Amino acid sequence: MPNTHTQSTKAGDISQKSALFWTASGIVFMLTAWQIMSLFMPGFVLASPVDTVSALIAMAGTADFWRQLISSFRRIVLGVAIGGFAGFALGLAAGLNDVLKNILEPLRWTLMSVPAVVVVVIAMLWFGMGSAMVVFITSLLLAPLVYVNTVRGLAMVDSSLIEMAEVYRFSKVKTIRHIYIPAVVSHVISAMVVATGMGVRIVILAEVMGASEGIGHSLSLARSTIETAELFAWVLVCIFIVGVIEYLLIKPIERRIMRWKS
Amino acid sequence: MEKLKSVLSFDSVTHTFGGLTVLDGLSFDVAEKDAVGIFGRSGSGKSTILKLAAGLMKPSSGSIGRREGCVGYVFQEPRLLPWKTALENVALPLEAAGVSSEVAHKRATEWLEKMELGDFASFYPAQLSGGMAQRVSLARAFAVEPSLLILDEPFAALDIQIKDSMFALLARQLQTLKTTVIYVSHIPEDMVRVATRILILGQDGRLTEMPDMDMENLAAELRQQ
Repeated sequence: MPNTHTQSTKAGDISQKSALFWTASGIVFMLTAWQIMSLFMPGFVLASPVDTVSALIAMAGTADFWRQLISSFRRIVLGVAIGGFAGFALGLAAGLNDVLKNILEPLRWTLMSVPAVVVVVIAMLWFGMGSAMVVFITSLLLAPLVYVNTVRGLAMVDSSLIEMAEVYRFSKVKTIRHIYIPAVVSHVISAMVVATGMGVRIVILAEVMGASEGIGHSLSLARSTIETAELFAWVLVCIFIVGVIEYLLIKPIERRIMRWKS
Repeated sequence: MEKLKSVLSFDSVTHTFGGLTVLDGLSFDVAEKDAVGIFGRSGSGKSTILKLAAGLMKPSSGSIGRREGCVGYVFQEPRLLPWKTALENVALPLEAAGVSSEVAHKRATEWLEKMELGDFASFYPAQLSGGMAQRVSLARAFAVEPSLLILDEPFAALDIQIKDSMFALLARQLQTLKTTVIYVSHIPEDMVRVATRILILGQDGRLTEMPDMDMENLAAELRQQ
């Protein structure tokens, strides 16, 4: 049997079972607090968890619900994917080229400083209402986040590995493919997890302001007709979408790519 | 291009760091199949000589000639890519040298077996001990069939028992392959296990060659330097 190193446990680490228990406790606490608060507030201000789930079940039985959900889901995936790819590609190029990094710095700074709502208004003027506008905004606002993490990751690449690559005459392409990209991938994945949550928020915001379908549009309708339970049901749907993208898409990819760490 | 008589040749090489002269007018040749040891105290500039020899640095003045061909370099630490298996780490430099992936993997497997790591080819560096990782690094250096093998105190960080077996493994390969070697160390006992010719790097940045002498007494002589 080959000798292998055992992984040491960091102080403060808890078992997976224990982590699950505490996460479940957090959910129960949130739901309880929500239920208690709803007892003291009128239904049109705060829908209770029970009313929200009932509304969600009723909505899920309609074709319109699925049409709105799929429409938003497609925009989120597209926006996050385009923004993530653009941020990663530009980050990689800028991280390896100081001139490009300095050229992109003002744009990065501007995009990270301008409020999302301002970008939505400008994009509505440029693209009108609809999917193109929503996807454009989402990509534009997420790209800097992935870009910054990629550039930071590249700055942390172990220079001794680059020296090794020079000794063995790795081409630039081989060095990027086998050293730089694997070294920054964990930074990029962390950024993508954050970008997914942000992407959902940006898509919904853009849809509330200028789309004729999607979750944001439905939220806008529910608000104007004071269907508070429906409004809260759509919030649950948003949480569900983030969960699906993070746990069924990003995490499995992360586990596959980062298997050398386990 | 005229083939160099020596595998490596330093001609009046001077190197300075921030105004400080680390190497001062070094001239020496490494002939084919030579195993040249450079002995010096820590911080005397031994690793700088190796980096200059490998082309990782340019000298401040003087010239360095090196025969065409691959260089095998075993650093003080293994410098393996953590996201690649032992096999991939050995095969990658071969692929970089233009060897097809299939042949590179076959040759990498053979070298891992020679380094007694045949069962660990699919292991990632994090799953290997320090000695095993350094053996992967040795396999990587030998696999490229180097015209010059550079050894920068490769076993300095290992404990004494592992170090002994590593030296035995290295000596076996060097004896079989007759590879040209340049080896640095600050430990006299290690120096005499690899080198057949020894140069001493003084604190003044100059090299002096040890005269021919009985290798058994060499360690004692070196310690007095």
